[in-house]
Amino acid sequence: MDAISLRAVVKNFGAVRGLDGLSLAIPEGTIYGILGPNGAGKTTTIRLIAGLMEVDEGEVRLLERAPGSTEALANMGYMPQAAALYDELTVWENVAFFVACYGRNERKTADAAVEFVGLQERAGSQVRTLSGGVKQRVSLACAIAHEPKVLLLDEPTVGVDPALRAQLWERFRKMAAGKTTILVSSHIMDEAERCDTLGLILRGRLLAEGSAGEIREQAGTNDLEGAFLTLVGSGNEAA
Amino acid sequence: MKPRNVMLVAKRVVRQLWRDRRTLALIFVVPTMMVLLLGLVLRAGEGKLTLLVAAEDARMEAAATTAAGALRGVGPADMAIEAVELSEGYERLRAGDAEGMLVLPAEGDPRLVLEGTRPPVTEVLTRFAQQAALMLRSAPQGQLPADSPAPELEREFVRAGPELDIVDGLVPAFISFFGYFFVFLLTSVAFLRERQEGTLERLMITPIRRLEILSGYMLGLGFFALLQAFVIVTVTVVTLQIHMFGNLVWVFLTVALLTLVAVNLGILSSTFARNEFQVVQFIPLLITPQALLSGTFFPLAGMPDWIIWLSKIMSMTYAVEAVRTVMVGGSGIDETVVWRGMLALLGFALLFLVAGARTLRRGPA
Repeated sequence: MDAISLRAVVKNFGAVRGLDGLSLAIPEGTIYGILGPNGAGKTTTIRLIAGLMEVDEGEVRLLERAPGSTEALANMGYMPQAAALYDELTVWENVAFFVACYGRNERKTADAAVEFVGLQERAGSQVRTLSGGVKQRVSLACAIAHEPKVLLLDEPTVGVDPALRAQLWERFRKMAAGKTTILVSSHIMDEAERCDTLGLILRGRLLAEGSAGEIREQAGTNDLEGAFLTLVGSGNEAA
Repeated sequence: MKPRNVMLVAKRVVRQLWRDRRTLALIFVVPTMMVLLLGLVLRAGEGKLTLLVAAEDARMEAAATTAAGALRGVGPADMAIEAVELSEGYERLRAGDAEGMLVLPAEGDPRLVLEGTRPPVTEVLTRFAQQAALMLRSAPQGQLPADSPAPELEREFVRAGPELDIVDGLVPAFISFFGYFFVFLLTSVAFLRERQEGTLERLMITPIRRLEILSGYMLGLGFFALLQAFVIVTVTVVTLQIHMFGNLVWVFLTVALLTLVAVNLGILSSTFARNEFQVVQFIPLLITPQALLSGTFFPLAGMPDWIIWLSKIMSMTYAVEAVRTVMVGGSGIDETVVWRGMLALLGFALLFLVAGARTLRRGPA
């Protein structure tokens, strides 16, 4: 079963075409990375799947439901680019609040999520006192605390140090092994290497798709960054 | 709508605001201070006035002295009335040492010379001078009894009593207005911040429904609004020694309902603002007309029909009418103006709540 599917999706922003007939099929338990230069349509794709926007043409399904439907929302976790937290509340209170929004037991689940992002010692700190990177981790804890079946991460590890990033990815891997589907947009190539499948998007269209190895092969380069630049360059020339 | 979800959002709003001490000060201290200051300023009045009495003809000085004595007996307590020579009178008026001078001619009615820079004082003196002229006309000079006491007029009040002053009449309106204004400001900015920081969006992709989010907000902010109403009413009634003829419970209830209207209007208007500056621009659009056209500062009775009609679609009108009727008129909820006012406020609150929920859409960030 595809946990996420997009079929010929078009999304316009006034005269600008954000997505131009994008189709994706992401099987359950996969970690799928969306790559692309700024303005390629990565965030738009994630927001359409989350139900924060509506498509102009085509269809989006999340766990075979319409995005924004109660069933889709209950089984989805979303981490936006901005931290989106309540500054006056503590780390724990933020996580517990969002957990409770899903009707889950606040105490047990919030504790587990705070531990997941390694913030047990900062659990009682007000969010406004935290650095950008730590806020990102709190934001991630809020997105995963209710143990969603689909996790949408919009550039999740910006501002997170490499050691912690490695730890987080270990956890993502465990979640995927437990059948959680993870869609992650990223600029970080080290992060892209860790995905099962990568989709390279340019001007709202899927330019290339496959594992990191397949993408490198397709571009005829040894490293992913080189492959990314080559494919984007040829995509721009074709346009 | 699940009450649990509403309470969840409400508790979060209360906890968050409770830790924001500056905002708390804004909603409790500032409106109370404004009402107190306005009360004190208004009660200060025009201060002591001095009216001089002079004769046109120097030979009639004695008549001026007699007239001054007679007028002293009937003049207001805060008006000093002195007999002077005409030239000295002009000098004192020019020096700002007196506000008016009644000049008695050899024949006919007296004329009034005014210092003139303070229109309300001019009006008070003109009114008194007219009375004085009538009195002098009926009692030819020389026959005026010196220092005659003002006649004791028996007064009967159908409502309220003789102890009321201008502040008693205005404070009920101020309590309503400032409560409304600051809660509107607080809510629209708080909700705008939720939109800008993405927390609202994050909340909207949880299974919590839009109406539950808004009701939670209404309840959480409504809690502070109620506290605010309690603080403003108690402090102003005690400090300004406002005369309360009705039951304070109805005042609280009306002000609480009005602030619920303010909460929901704040949420609704935050939809149309992109930043705090734009929220502030809503004040002249949504709040100032209510202050001017709801009978808060100026009575509605003398205004054109279309303004009276316009005042009927303003929530503040109903609150000011109801609170004034309870505080000054001594009425309770059985009075039509009071229960109808409360119902109207409830209607406005629900209308804005539903409109707010309709505009609360998921959309581009």
